[in-house]
Amino acid sequence: MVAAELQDSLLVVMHDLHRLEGLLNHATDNLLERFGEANAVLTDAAVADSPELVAARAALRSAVTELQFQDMASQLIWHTTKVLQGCAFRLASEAMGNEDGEEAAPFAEMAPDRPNPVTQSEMDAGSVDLF
Amino acid sequence: MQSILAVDDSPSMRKMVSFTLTGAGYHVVEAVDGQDALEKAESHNIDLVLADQNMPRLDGIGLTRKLRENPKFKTIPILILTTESSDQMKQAGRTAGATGWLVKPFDPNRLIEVIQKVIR
Repeated sequence: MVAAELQDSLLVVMHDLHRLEGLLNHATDNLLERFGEANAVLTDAAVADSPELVAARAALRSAVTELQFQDMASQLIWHTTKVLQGCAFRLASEAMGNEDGEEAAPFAEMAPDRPNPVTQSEMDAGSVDLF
Repeated sequence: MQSILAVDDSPSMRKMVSFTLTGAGYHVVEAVDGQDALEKAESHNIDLVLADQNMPRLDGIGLTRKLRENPKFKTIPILILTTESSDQMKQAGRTAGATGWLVKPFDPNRLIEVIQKVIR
């Protein structure tokens, strides 16, 4: 009973994470569209250079670092969802048990096979190594 | 104009890379994963490859290995741009033949500096 409730909760969380990813994707699509529009106006040859325009272009360019949040957030969400999925399948398998001759639930395939690739917890620019 | 092959399965990352590099005067060819990149590298004159690591079909290290097997791409600079920051992954990239390893998020000015340093 407890296992079933836990499994339901995990499924709800996975669904919410999926919605969160949708919100992030939608917001990013819109942000990038606005970003493109602003860039087109600021780099228009007909617009004369002024210190304010140069500063605005530089600010827009700097925002590129922070605008990469969606890629990193999506990878985090994907990994977390896979962990939760593995837990849900494992719970189901443990709760129901395996009948004689029945194959075990493939929860090992549901869980990620390696640690989370995103270790960053802030949006500062990453390191550069030249070999 | 020098051409850069930008490889990433994330449309937003391709857009950010493309915005940064075209603004610096480079021509950008986009690919959605390593396999797509192999095909685009053959059909375009590419001066540098900037590739993500974690992608479907073929990842950045796999792409690097495949390109290095081809005499045409033996010396082309290949930069891996990824969220992966472990020494183990960096070493794997180096062994595969990558020129450098850049951890996301990238700073646009720094990215251009690095590219100017390694591109011929």
